[in-house]
Amino acid sequence: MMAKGSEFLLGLFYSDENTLVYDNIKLAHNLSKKALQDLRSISFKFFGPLFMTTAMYKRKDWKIDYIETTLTPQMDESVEETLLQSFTCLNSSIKIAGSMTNLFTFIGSPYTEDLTLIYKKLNEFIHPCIVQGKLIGQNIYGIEFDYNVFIDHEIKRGTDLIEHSLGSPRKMYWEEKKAYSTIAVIKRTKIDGILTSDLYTFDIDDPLRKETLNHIPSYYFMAILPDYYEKRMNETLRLFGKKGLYPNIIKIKVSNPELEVIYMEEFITSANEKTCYGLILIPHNDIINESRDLFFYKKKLREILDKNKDFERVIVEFNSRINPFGNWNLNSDSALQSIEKLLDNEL
Amino acid sequence: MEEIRFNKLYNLDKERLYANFERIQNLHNNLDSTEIITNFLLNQSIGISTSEISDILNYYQKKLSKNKMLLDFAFEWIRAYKIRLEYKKYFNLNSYGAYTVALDDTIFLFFLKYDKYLRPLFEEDMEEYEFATLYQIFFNSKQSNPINLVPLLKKNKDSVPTIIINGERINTKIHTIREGLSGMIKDDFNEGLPTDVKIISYEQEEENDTTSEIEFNGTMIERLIKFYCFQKRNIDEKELTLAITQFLSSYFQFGAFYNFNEFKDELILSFADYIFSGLTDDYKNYSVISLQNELTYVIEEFEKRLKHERLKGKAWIEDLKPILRKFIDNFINRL
Repeated sequence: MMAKGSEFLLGLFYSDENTLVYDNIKLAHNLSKKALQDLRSISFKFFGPLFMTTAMYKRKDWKIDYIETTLTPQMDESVEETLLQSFTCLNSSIKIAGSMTNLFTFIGSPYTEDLTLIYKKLNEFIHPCIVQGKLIGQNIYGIEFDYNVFIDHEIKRGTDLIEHSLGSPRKMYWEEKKAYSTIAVIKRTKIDGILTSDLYTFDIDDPLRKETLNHIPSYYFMAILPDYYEKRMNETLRLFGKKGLYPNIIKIKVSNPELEVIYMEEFITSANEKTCYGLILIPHNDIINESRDLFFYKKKLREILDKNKDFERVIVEFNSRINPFGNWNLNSDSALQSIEKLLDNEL
Repeated sequence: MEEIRFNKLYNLDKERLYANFERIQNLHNNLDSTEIITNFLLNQSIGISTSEISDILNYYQKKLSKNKMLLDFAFEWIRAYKIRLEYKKYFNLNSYGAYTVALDDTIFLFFLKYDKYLRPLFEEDMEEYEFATLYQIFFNSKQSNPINLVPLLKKNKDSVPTIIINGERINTKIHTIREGLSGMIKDDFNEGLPTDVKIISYEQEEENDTTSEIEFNGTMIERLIKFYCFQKRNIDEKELTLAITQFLSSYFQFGAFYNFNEFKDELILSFADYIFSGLTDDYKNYSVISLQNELTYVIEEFEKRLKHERLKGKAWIEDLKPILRKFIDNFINRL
């Protein structure tokens, strides 16, 4: 359990089948009323891509499981003394009577938290408690069932349970030994505040491009995730008053009942420049022979960044069929539309 | 898979247990199988009396899966004791700041998987309240208190429903586990607390203990009566209604069910007592006994008109409010 007086941020948000959002926010210091209100509305932005996936990619019920970041001091701001080291979003989605309910949490911590344990608590206990409790309450109390009181109570209870888990030593889980294959690489650079992001993947006429669509929500969706959530995490940290810190994406996981996709990223900063390399990974399967575990990819990405290795030469080591010269820009609407039209074309 | 993992984790020395069972079987070969297993369990320090255990065995025997025997049930009762010891060790190592955290954390770590493991022992149509009752039996923390199966089942039937929608049973297992284990975990949580901060019940559930921890509180009624005696001015109607509502709400909890006979005597004694306490010396022409007798008459007249003996707390509040108001109005008019 987190030691008393430790700096931490914790927010739990529940979006029910009517898309109403309920929340409980806990932190080591008080927030202004306005900041609290803004925090509540920002939860919709986090849910944004979730709603997007269910609306646009109905075929497979994709959801975001977690977004993990580390925090570094802002390059252009004076360093604020803080003990926060990691900032993570975890999300649980459960379908009720055809509608999706989502429970997600922000956790800002001075430690590297055992996210798998916390995620299990969220997904296997706290969220089902809410779903089941509502059914029970309606069954026992009928029209007298006070849903708002019930939800507030359960969310507070869920927050307390998550808070109790913070500070636990992180365990090694078997999933970290699982083998994954690279289907795309994303390069993001920020120079003097200007962000440039590019996607590298299979050629349009490569059969592997189309095959891969059966294993991911879409190229478009996976490509926008890092930029989108880095901005959201940054906004959230500012609302929490953490202006001196910047979030760096480490891992994002999306899944549906049968499939999963991981985006993992490493970064390096120098002067006014930040460079990130990320990989879009799917579990080992029959369509791609090359597969390794996550530790391998992490090590390889670090090598590229630390030793300043030749990017084009290295990305083919992840998957020899990825075209290192055919980049898809991710920074304009028209560029993203091209990705949707061409890469996500199933024909 | 779950069965293998659980068997490994909470291993029973089945050879030794079978040997023990056979020894008891040989000693009591004139008894039927339920009685033999009852003696076997008592021998394993499970349960307190033969009647308590045989009631439970007879009830749950009818619920067992086709390929399961009563002895399997007995072994699981013994295994539950072992699980309780492990859970208790973990519980004592953790400093839980709140009862709900203790409940939720230990359910997540120990009992979610246990529930998944245990359910195949029983038929699929066994109801959720029967599972909740089973947990209360298996994990009874008050080992010196006998378990009264029928009242326990009755109580759980209201609060642990089995929900079926369009012919499909809906998963409400976590609620069942919470209801089944809240008693044990509450006791364990309270063990570590000073007496004056012990948690009675997080949701202020009605207890089955002989000493009721929930009482009628009529301090506002007492104040209003005192005000009348000093000021000699009529009591404001709204304030009186509020005072009576407060008196009733201090006892009846939202969502809980009550039988009339459970609270009737307590209601009469408390109401009369608070009225009497509010009287100044000038007005103490009445004894508290005469007040109780008058109130008893009024309440018994009300009881004759009752259509249902068992209602929700809120319903009792609404029904009793006008009765008690009229009583106080008449009483004050006579002062």
